[in-house]
Amino acid sequence: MNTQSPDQEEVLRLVDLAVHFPITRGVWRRKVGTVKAVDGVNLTVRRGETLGLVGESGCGKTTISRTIIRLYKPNAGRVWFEGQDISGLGERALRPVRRRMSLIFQDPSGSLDPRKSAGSIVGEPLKIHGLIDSRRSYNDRVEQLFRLVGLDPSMIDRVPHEFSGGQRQRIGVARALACDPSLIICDEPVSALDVSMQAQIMNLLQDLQEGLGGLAYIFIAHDLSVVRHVSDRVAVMYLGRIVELTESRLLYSSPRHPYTKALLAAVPIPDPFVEETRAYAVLEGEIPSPLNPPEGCTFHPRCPCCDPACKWQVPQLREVAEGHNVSCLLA
Amino acid sequence: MSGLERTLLLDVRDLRVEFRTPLGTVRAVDGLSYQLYENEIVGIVGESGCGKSASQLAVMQLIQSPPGFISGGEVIFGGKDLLRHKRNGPEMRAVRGGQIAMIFQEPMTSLNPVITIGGQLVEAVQLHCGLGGQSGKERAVELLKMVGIPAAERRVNDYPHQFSGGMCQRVMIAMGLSCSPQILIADEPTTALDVTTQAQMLELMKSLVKRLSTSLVIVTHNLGVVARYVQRIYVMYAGRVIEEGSTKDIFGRPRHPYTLGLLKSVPRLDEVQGTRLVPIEGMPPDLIDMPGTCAFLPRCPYSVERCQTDPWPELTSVGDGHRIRCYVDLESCPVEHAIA
Amino acid sequence: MFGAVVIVIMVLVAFLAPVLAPYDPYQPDMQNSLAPASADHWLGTDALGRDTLSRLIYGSRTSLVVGLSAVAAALVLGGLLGTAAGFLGGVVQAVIMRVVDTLMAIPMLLLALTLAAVLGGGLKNVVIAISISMIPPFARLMFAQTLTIKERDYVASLRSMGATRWRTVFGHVMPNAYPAVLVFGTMMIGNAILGEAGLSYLGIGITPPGAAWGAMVNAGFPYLLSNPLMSIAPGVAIMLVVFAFNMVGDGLRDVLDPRLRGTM
Repeated sequence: MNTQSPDQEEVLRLVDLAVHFPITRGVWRRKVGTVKAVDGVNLTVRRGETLGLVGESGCGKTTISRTIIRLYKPNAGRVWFEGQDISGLGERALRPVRRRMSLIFQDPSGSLDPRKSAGSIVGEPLKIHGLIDSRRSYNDRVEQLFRLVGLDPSMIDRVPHEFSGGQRQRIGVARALACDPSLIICDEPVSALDVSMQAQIMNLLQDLQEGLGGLAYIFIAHDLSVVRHVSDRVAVMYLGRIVELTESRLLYSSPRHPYTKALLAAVPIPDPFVEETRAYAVLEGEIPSPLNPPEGCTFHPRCPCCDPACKWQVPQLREVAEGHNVSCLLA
Repeated sequence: MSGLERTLLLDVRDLRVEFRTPLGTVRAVDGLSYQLYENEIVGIVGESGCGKSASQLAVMQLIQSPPGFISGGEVIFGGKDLLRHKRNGPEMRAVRGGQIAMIFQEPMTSLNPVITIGGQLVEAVQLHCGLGGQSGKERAVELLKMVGIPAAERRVNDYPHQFSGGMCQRVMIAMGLSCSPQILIADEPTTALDVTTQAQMLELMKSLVKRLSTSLVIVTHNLGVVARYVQRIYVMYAGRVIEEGSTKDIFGRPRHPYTLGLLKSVPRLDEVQGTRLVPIEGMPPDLIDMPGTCAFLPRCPYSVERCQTDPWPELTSVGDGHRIRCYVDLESCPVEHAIA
Repeated sequence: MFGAVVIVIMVLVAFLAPVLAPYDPYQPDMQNSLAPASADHWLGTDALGRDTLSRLIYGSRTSLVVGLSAVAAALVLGGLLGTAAGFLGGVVQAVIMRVVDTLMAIPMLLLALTLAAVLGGGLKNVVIAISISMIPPFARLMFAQTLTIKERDYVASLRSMGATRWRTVFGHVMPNAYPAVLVFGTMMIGNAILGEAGLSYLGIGITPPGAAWGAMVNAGFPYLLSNPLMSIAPGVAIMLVVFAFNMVGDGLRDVLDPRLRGTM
């Protein structure tokens, strides 16, 4: 992992990314601790691929998504987007960058301004970046976006509350597509939806990727089945670090990290015949507080196969097989 | 499994629950019938709005009234119809918590933030097992140990905010099982928890109900959870059961189009790469203006002439303990069931 | 909608006062002083023989002016301060909110008295005094609203799209915050009118011969037993109008809620 400008095929590269949040107390805001939400993450996303990020609370996946789009500023490390280092850019310099990437949120209700019409929500990015020549071309583009996501253009003037949850999420997708981004970060886009709606949105995202060519996704979710379904590669995170990074088909068949194995075991498969024969062991203990992570490998207190070295040595993410990276001393 | 003499614990017949809103009456539960036997784990499955949570609240007479009303049906427990009891009368209060207990979705808000964990546990055992004072406190510590809370003697004096989400849920389980009820109802017990915590909770519940010979009802939308833990399933849609049967029957040979639709639209951890999900088209029904015909009709790819004209049918048997509410039996249609 | 009807009537009355009032409200007529209600004078006359009804009608102008302008000024100023504090945070927030807190500590009466002493009495200073004393609640309300709205995903979304702060605040935060403040404002109009009434009653605000409801209540007190209408008429008018504005405030809340738009 070097810090040179990466090749053209890469849309995003995170190098040793670290994002820390200070804990302050008292009137004078004394710093009493630090939450290392993201603690040394290396990732790349290529054009047109979907990278899945999965993990439980405190793993840092949401923080990463916000940092990539620079809602947060990294404390250390670099964020390279389309060959440009955006880690330290100011708000003004970030504007053209933000045209090229967008964010889809989890909550379909909270992510849309309740007082604006669906059409104006979808078209707002066009206005922000001054991409409209005429009223006519603006309306055409908004209609086109509506159709792209499977919404009826006659609903352009309705407010969000008049749409169902699944439809609101489609509005969010349309908005994300408005300026033709090369990367869309999907932060739990289906978690708040009903089962039947989830499939519709997942299919929509996949169809859009195929149809638009060159569109990359970072897909963040806590549901491992969902992530594996949509992603080409999956990164498993625990307490701010990546513990395993591999192709999604290998994730189920040959997981290497004990946490990945535990995560897989914890997810029941909707098939009683399979479940009957599945030997699964439930992980003990609780996720440690990010304020006070364990020494060495942060997973070692809960790890079924812990080596004495794990208690003080911090494992690095290294390649153990073609395209398969694990951060474990024993892998 | 039939033919074996099993004790029937709970017999719910034609339960109906309505909510009166300014826009009309919502028929949340519209003729629900199910049975619960001794020593079994049953799943009630459906998406939001199908009436599964409302039905369980109705069994416990916990429906907020107004705007909700239990407008019909019987809930036979211990030889008596629970719905005949007064909502806050002594009989109902004795049943609630003592013989039928319930755990809810949000563990962090289910506990009173200003009373210690121990205090709340003691309250529960006092009310239903008559254990007060010192024996109550001892029982509270015992319960915490039973659900796997470390350093129980010390933690019994903690407040809910000092416990994590998973630990709060364990406390809820402890409270629920504190007086060895006959039935434990778990309403979406794991939705607010992390995946690994979810697994711990479910395993805990499974082992405890087995130990205490309590029957468990799991209300959920998560098909994986029912596949792993549940022996019999009731699939609900628009306030009624549309398919019921053993877990293997429901997953292995789903006979109702909605059940099949659900199974095909859910991603599986072990699926082959490139499997396409088949979503259920359309949107959930509006429970206010329900036509007399099948509520799933607008979204059903298998409907026939009869479905448009005739009213929604009653449940008919298609196998041993396997019933569906449908004019079309999917056995006659090609059914795909892809396993990786 | 009773409230709206009353207000519309009041506005019309105020507007058409010269047409509606049977007599000149300022013209004394010692012959007819302290007359009870009669066909000539529907509500009787006051100590100087001025027609109570006419004074009531003209008084509506004063009340309306005071109520609306005091609240409008407080709403705009308080609203801007609250939004700035909520959105910008940090030092700006601390400074603004401390100023607002200080203002809140000063009783309106004291403020009005001081202003009267420095600038003299009269309508303008009544409005200024009431308006300044109302800034804190508006500022705090807008501050709270802004804080809540700022955390919503759609605001984060705007930033992630590259929107300027200006666009975010004026295009999105304010439109979502103002309904609550506007509703609060309509309810405060009643308070403002009462405030004017109180000040006039104490002799600080509008003094006779000016026609103002509060002053009229004040003037009628000595004659409460003989000519109760002198105080009761303006008193009832105040009550009705305050009530009406409160009701309209409630209705306004529903009208401004985007969730009730369309077929839901």
